[in-house]
Amino acid sequence: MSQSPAYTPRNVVAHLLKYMLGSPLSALCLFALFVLVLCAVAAPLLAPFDPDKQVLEFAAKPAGFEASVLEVRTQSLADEFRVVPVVDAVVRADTVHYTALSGRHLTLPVHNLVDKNTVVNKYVFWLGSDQKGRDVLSRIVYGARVSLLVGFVAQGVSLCAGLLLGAIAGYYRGRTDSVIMWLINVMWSFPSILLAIVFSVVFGIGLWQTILAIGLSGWVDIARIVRGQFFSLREAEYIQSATILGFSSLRIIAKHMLPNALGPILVVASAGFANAIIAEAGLSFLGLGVQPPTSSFGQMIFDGRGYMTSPDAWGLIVFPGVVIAIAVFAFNLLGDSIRDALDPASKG
Amino acid sequence: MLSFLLRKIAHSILILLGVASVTFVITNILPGDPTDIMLGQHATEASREALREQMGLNNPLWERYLNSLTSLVTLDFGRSYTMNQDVFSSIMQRLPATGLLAGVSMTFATVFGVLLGVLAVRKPFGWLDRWLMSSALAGISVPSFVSGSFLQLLFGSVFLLLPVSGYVDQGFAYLILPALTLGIRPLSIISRVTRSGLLDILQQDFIRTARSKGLSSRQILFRHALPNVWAPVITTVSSWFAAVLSGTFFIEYIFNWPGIGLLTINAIQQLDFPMIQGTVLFTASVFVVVNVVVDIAYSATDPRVELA
Repeated sequence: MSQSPAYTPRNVVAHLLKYMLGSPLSALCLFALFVLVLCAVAAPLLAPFDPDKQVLEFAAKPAGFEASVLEVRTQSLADEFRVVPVVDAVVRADTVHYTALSGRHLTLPVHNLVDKNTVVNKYVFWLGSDQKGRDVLSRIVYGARVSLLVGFVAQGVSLCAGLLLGAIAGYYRGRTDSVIMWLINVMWSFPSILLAIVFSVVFGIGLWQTILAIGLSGWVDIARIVRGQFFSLREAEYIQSATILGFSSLRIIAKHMLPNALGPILVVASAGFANAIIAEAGLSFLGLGVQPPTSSFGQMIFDGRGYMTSPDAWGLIVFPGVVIAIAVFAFNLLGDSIRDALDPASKG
Repeated sequence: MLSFLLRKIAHSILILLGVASVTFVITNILPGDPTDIMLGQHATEASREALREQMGLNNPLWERYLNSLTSLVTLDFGRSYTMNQDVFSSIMQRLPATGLLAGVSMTFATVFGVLLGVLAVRKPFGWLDRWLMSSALAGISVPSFVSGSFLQLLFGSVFLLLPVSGYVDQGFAYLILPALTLGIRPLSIISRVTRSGLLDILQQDFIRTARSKGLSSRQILFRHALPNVWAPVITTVSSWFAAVLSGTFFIEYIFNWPGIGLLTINAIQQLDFPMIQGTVLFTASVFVVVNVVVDIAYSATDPRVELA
């Protein structure tokens, strides 16, 4: 390992892409990651509906449910328009004549419609709707945003804490190392999901509190790896030469040791990202994570469990569940691929 | 050997002290007033004060800290706010349920994990190997509350064969789904560890010697290779066992299994401070103790581990 050239971000990415595109499964995972990131970044553009828009007439409909509706302007500031489900509708003069779901024939003035040209809107709920008549697909798209945001920032917090403590322990060794190692062993004794649960109770509920709770419960693995890497790198000749040349500790750590420890750190960080996504879903499953109406995978599954016995509502659990599994699988495979691509010796 | 043992034990006591301190800090910055939970929000200030005095909440911080450290030895974690029961005896009451679940699912995971690992390595990088290892990665990737919910959905509304929620005292069938759910992740990890361990060993000289002696591949696998992967497999099994024994929060929660995990989740939902402190402390201590026991067992059986 110490013979190989330092990893630079560019050759890591190029090498990794080449490696992953070589196998169909990992190519598929790269694609899944791409779609997830796209959903997270461009959720408002990709989601077919407003994820919070409730149409109670369409509560708990199965996947592929289609409906005709009128979008009618309202006076209230909170809702731009309300959705009126119809059987059919025609425009005569300046009036819309429509048949409501109840079978009654009603009218309303055309200028009340949001869009006068398309009178009847076709709504398609590709993945069905939830118990409040919200579109499951749109909620999943927005849920990906929450999931990735929490995973990304929480993992950033874990990386900072883990890198700092691991680097200090591995570089300075001796008593400093003993103290940090003791702390690492202590924190390692708590199951990280339990720490995340207890922290989120301490910090309170909300997006940033959840991120902090998950971030502070996930740094131990990173610190262990960084410490181990630094411990062995410290012995390398080029590091000892750098020390003899009188370079500052900070320069040696940042410019010479960190780049050489990057591979293993990336591997743990990628797995940590997957764990952070699981932790976020778990916390919101328990009602301790991000709060409604913000959509989150865990909370969608928890809500869906209330409708487990109704035959049409299986999608409320299955769709978000499958998406979490794909996301976590893709990040785990990314971690494995980084390991295999960067270190041929550990292949398999 | 004796000095090695003593050092190991001293080390784990230091870790336990840290565990108790961290637990103390966390539970003492939890929001909410305990007297609210026990007396309701409309209690008079006098009765609150009396309760605080009785529970020792008015004692100085250092005294409460010392108390929480000594609770590790005396096993006195106080009384639950909501269950009107001693915290330690509640934990002990729930331990058999979690122990049963953990034991059954870890046995299942170990047997099938090793089996699948061996199957995978028979033709390294063949289709079976790739397929098994991808499935194992998938098994690691599905959170337990998702796989548990899927199983409940499947058996609750499609197959109608197994009960989807409840404890084993109503019948043995109640054990199957929770144990299966709990076993998926360790099974996946054990099969990966077995496979990569075997792959390493099969490339070594003594295997080549065995092969050139004309031994069958079956003999090589079972007599020569497999005994050498027990070490990493046992490490995985024991660390998972510790994690599983210390509470399987989500699985007990969704299957309504009255173990330590469910106790912990309920305590957190009700902000039952002594119970949170007790369960968290217990959970981490089990982990420390199991790890040190495994560590010692290792060094006693494996001559390569230095007793330094």
